[in-house]
Amino acid sequence: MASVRAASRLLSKRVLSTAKAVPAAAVQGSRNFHFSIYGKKKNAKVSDDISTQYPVVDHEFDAVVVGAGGAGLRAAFGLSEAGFNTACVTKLFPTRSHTVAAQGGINAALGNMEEDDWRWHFYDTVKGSDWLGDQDAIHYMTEQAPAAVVELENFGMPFSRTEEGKIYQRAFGGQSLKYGKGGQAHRCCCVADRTGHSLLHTLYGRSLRYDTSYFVEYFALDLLMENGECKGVIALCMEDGSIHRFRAQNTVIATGGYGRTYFSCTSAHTSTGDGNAMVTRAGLPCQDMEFVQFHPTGIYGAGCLITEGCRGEGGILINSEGERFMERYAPNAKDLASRDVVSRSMTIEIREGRGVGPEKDHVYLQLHHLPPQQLAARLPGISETAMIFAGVDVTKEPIPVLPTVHYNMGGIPTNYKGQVITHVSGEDKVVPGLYACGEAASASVHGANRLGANSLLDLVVFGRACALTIAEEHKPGEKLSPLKPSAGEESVANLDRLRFANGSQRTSEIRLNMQKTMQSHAAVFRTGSVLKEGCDKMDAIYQTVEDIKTFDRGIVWNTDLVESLELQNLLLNAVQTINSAEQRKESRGAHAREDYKDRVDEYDYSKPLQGQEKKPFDQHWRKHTLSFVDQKTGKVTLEYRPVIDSSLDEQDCAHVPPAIRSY
Amino acid sequence: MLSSIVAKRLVTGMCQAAWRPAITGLVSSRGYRGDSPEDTKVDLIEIPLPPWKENPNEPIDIKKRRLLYESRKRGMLENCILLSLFAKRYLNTMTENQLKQYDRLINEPSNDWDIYYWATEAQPTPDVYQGEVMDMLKEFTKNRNHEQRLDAPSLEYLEKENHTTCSSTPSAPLVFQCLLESCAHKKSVERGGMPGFILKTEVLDKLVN
Repeated sequence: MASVRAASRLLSKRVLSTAKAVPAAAVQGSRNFHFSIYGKKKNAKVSDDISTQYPVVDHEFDAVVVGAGGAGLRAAFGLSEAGFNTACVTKLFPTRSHTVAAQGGINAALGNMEEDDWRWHFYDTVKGSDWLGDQDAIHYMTEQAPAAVVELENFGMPFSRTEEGKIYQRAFGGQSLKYGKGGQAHRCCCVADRTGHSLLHTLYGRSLRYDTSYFVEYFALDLLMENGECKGVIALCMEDGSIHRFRAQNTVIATGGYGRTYFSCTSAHTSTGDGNAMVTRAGLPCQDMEFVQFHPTGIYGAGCLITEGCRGEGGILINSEGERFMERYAPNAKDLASRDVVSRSMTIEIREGRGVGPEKDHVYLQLHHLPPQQLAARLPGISETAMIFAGVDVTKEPIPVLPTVHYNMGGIPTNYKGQVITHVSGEDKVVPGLYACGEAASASVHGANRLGANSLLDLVVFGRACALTIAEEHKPGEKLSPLKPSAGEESVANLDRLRFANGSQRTSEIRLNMQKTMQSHAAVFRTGSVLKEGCDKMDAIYQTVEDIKTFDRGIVWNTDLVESLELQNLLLNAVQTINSAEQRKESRGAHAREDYKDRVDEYDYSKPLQGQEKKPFDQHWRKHTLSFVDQKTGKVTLEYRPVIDSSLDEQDCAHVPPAIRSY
Repeated sequence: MLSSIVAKRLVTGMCQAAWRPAITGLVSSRGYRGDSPEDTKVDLIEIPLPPWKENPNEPIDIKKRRLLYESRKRGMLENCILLSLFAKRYLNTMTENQLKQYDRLINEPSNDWDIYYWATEAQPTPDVYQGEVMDMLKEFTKNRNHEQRLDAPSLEYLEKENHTTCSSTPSAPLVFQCLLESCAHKKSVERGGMPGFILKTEVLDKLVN
């Protein structure tokens, strides 16, 4: 019904606009100016092929990059550097990308602090992935890491330095020497505590030397797919409501994660999985979406991180009965137990009804038994954060906390060259013209869990890889294959439907329903019945988007419209996450099931392999989940793809066979 | 080669003069630094980004709509929440001058963390950003009422406000001005769209002819 209404409105507008001609001068003027500022004048033209209500502008490029975070910028300037006429389409100004929030650093085996070898970094990453990472991609990333960091240094990134002037490297969890036997490695390069900002600043500054055309504050709606080939993207210009079709031989998706599917999440409110959803709508799979990394203590709802150092300094977790419950779960380590244990214990307390707050859905982190001087000296910033966002004075009251989404390991499946792949009859198959990198992609270097300071590395290495692959396989100025004049019609119809949607549920209501459902059914504590119930609830919530109500009928800077489009994207990410988690009947990395506590590999690696029979593919879980969604019904279909166990060069870097993971 | 470096330093030095107070200011006591060396803050000087430019011709209601979007869509969570709530409280009642200050404050600095540190007074605010709006933001950040600030506010609060702005449709010359400006600033003509920015064809025809 809604679609019929939308169609009739489009038609009536079409008639109206032909009857009363738009003053040609005005429109012409805007067109000319537009392209003298953005993009290539000679390539852009305006058409009314798919809508007259929305002016549609067609651009032609050699490559288009969606997203201008670390990965997108690296890909975009790599392409421009190689002579490709490149567009970068982004809903945020580049320095507003979420990469800016990364404070940690970037791993590379430079060996500046002690002897180091990228093969040790390789080993750590494979182990960290709980043997769900593709080892060819991990090989590529860790081997390229030192060059990637040196390259950034040459671009002018001001890394912190040792007294001899070398890049300073600090210790980070999960990083070891000599294949886990040589103790803690110092492998993380940083720019004080603003590595992410510095990386963005460096890459953006660098890219301006080349002729990259930035389309800033354009919201990408969909991929332009034809016969299984990607031919560009269609986007909405928020400043004027015009629709732009970016036709390109090569499209790179670098849209980041989808943390906002959950109620409590550390990422910016812009991490809405737009690229994953675009790929899903194009009928392509997403991979390993069930693997979501949590941080045990984010401020309830807000998501601001409360450092684990709080518990190191003597902070304790308290339930509604005022009990220090960690004593029960980890009698020795208590509140200093590992992240996973703390997150799970907190969630169990909440599930068993001992949560705090009106909805009994979080716990307290108590610091006020510590001397105020110690708080101020050892945990600077915590008291301000707690006051600003939770309204809590930490010297008197506890902070409401909850395990909080921190990183999405899953995303768009790619090979180590950044090419998006599908898996057809037992073979990985490249999707022509489509690439992905960064948190949006699943290469998969993080597998079932990401190690700290490997994500910034992922951005630069695979952003660069996308550019290199395109440069290897294409030439600048290649003729574009033809595109149907009506391409992108559905995206515009959907946008128009949302803009005038007058159902009964608000965008914010549906979003909150989704976030709360995901938080209580698909967060840290995962068990069959809870996940199943969550899948059913998410199915129902997915349907409610048909009944959405927006209020802003404008088109210029329509935040309501953009957030509704983002909600559609989030929902596609959410249903894939929870269904993939429900189906994966094992515990691996960040995916821990109460009802299937063990990792299920093709062999039982806790015992000698001799005499064991290899389990067939459908009876073990060392495989990637590939999820597809029927956009109309929200029904998720799952397939599986084997993990790649060989490195790129077994002579130089032997793959790491699975083992029981312990730290 | 050498001279080009010197020239570059000079130019970027001038471009970034606004940053100086931040550079010479206190070194932040926040965030994990481990035992890494002192923060040199050199990148603020070495790599120039194009200077931010304000758009003096942007109609005020469009500016508000843009700033609403830009307040809600930040690079980091803390600012998403702070600025979206701040925008809810103040954006609609800001004077033209305040809007200008706010635009500059949230769009010129390249590092979102800086804005956060200034607002929370962890670092001194550079003079260029000092002003009425910054004072309002600092005060707002203190959260004196001890509210829980969990999320960006649901946008629906605008629905009521929109109805009031709707009634004050700009007069014809203003509409025309908007149109001309939109031509000059890469906007195409939108017809029958946003309340308060309705370009009726008849009006348009009259104005153009």
